[in-house]
Amino acid sequence: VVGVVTVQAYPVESSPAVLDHPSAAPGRNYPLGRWRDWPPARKYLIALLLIFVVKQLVTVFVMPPFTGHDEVAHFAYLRTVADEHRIPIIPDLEEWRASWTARSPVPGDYLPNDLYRYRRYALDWCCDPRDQPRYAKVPPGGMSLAGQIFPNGWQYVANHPPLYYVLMTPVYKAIQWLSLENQMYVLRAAAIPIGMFVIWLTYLMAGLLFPRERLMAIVAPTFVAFQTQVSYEAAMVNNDIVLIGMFTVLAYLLVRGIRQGFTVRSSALVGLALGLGLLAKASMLAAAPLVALAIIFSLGLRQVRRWAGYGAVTVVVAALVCWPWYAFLYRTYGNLSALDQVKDLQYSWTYRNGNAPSMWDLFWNKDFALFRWRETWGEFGWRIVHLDGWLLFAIGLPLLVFAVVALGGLIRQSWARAAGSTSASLSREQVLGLWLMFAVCIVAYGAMLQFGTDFVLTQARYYFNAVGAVGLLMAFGLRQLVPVRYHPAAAVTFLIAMMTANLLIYTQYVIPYWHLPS
Amino acid sequence: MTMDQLRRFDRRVLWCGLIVLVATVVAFLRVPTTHGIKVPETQIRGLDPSLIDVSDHERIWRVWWRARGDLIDVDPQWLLTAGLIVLFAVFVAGTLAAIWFALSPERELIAGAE
Repeated sequence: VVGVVTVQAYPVESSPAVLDHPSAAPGRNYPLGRWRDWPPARKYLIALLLIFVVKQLVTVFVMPPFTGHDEVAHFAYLRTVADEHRIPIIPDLEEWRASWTARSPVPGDYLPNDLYRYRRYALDWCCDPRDQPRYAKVPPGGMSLAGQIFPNGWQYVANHPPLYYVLMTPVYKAIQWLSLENQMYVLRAAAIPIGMFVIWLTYLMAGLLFPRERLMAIVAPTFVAFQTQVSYEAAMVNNDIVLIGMFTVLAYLLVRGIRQGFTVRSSALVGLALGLGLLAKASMLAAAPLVALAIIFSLGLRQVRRWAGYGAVTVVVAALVCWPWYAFLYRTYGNLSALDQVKDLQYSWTYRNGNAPSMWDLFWNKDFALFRWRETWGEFGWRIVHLDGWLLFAIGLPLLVFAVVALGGLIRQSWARAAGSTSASLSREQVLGLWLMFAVCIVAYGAMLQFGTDFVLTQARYYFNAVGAVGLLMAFGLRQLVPVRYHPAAAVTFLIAMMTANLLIYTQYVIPYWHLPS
Repeated sequence: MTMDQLRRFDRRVLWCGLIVLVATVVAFLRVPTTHGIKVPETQIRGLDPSLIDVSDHERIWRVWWRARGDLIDVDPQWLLTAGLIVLFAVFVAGTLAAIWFALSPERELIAGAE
């Protein structure tokens, strides 16, 4: 069957068949079947991953070394893990001041001097050579702010768990002979497979929720692959991408549980993903209520013994995986986050005068929301490369329409199902799965807002762990808008639109900023 | 072309051809660009970066072509250019393949029905 002879039916199935189900690709001799028997969506995924790898390799080299969010600090953390086989320590402010005053060795870890030339891309690492010529090469040990002395260049990402750095240690060991800048390029490239993993998981989630619906299976992973800042994270030395990866694994496992039913084994896997995520970044804690929501609503509110049992399995496995990190935190800092220590030291980035906003204040703060949107697509290189408003608007408007349509469609479907109406075209599992995706977005955004109540330097990347869920919801919104017969054209249009957005962002802003300066 | 040949003609070829054509035209468009400043402001006493005009216009393909030598130090430099051209070729091929698969008929449904 070639060309225009097509079957245009896209059945909405209530059975848990998936895109990658063997019946969809009836190869006999190979584990994944023969290439020509693969469903088009899977072939598309392979092509998408190829495009993604090329795009990421270009990103690795387009962004100058150490210009990513906190790359200087994350690289220094990796060195501590790889070279000294330990986790870096945040200095205690009072102890540090006592040592500084006594002129004795100060406690804690500090960013290494050979990275000082990249201080522009690190927080709280002064100073300007205009203050003292010698500060051009060597940083001062302390700095005075509002009449108080603070440590300079302290290791401000030391409160992060070690999973990313442990994963990158073999890569770092293998490339130590390279220059610092070339080490940075290789380590950035090592994050690309994690980005590919996130795209693949999003594809699988689309297949679980909407079996054989090509539009969903194409649009959702395409959104992830071309979301500029998530791609940036997947070409950077930063633990964020591991968090995004583990969060997406967890979302996938929860969708699979909703589709195929939770068991002790699947609950244990959810616990493993949660535990590993907590070893990547503390933000993973926001996923805990999602696990509870998925298990409880999937099994039914009245099945208390079952969901309590599965929940307990999840919690126990997660705790077994991540307890050493939290034991280390408690022993070292006397709390389970080290954020108290960070707050003491980040003088410029915290609310010192009791004027901290509430989550509600931030939620309704228009400027705050707009800045997060700017950071979601631009503000590369630590808020240096800004995008124009027209482009942000052009990207935002269709996505907003998709989001509103997706939410409206989901509410309508939920209502129809509750009323037993024949207009309910989605299965219970599909409705639950999509609500879970909305819950992922709300939880991720809420966690970012919560962080903003303590720290001024709240950033959009704190909700990038929801990218797979956002991709699915965008795809669902598009699916609601476009008649079935135009789904292939809509999928291609979406791909081209995402590529165009990337092309404009890199051509008009990123490349001229870094490589064609005035 | 006979009607029979036309019937067998794959519409995906038209799609891909059209997209390549539009992309080629787009590559020659002049777009506004926003540049950085060569010397970081921290190194020049009294420099006000807001006074520097960082806006310009350039053709899309020229932006990428001009920037290629600045991306990374490779000796010889032509090796980098060759590498980037290969990456570009793979990107174009991958994109066309993706469009081809996105538009291809639902063979798996036919197989399932058999």
